Amino acid sequence: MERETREIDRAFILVTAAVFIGLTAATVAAELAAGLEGVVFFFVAWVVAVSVWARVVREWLNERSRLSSVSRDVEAMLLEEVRRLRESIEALRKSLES
Amino acid sequence: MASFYGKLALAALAVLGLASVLLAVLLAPHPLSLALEARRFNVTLTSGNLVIVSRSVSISVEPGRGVTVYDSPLCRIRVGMDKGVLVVEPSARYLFNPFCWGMRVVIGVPGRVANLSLNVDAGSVVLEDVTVGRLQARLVASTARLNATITESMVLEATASTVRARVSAPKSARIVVDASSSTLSLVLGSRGARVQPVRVTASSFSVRCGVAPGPLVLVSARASSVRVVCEG
Repeated sequence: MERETREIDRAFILVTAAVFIGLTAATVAAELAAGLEGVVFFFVAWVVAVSVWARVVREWLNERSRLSSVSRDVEAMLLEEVRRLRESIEALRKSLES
Repeated sequence: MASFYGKLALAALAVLGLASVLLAVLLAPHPLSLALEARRFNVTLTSGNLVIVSRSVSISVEPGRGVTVYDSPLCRIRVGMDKGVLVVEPSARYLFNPFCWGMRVVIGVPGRVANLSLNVDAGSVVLEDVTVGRLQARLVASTARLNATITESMVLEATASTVRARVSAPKSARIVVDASSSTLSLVLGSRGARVQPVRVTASSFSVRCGVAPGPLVLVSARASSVRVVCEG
């Protein structure tokens, strides 16, 4: 689970960086080509990007919490198994001693 | 998890796609080639200086001396000479930039009555007035087409989609304005020496245009349907 969490973290960070670096580069290109109006033009793109990314961040946090809850469930299950195993071993030891 | 990757990819594609489209519109010389081709404005200047002045654009043209362009950082107009024809072409940025809408570009010949006005508004170019001295003007816009050559008489037709002018030996003019049209501006004169502004509001109007030599007729292309006939 931890590996999967790391994977989605890495994917999210990489894609976010790529998108926002690309958007910044496009804005700079527009500024160089068209001056201030290029930046005004790209204001729309930035508004869309930020609003879309707000949703993506929510999805990312949901996915992380889902993975961590799954991880907690698995851990609890394993602990329960270990406890039952210990009990079995203890019972076996007692039967051998008697 | 697959759903998260899908949403992430979709969001990235949406943002980068939008940025690419915006960049293409900004950088491409003719991003909407058909629409822009229909918004070229050509002026042939055979004598005198031509000056284009607006709130933020000032263009001075002297035949044989090239074109001087002063523009604002916000609103730019491409101007160039092509085989002796001055080409004034609002750029795509100009047409799409709300800051430039409503901006007025006036083309005039100093010392003459000639006056040509070009209004860029909400992505379309509207020809407002034309004065034709020794000036041949043609506007091809989404809403109007004007082709005027001054010789000695004139036939001028204008509709919402077409404006055409032809001249040959006039004595008088008959002007028919569509009932639904707005005010029509008309100027008659002789090579700019005499100017007779006429406001036409009636649905039908007659005026003499036989001012020799070389009468001039100026008509607004705002009317939805205009017909001017100078009869020889």
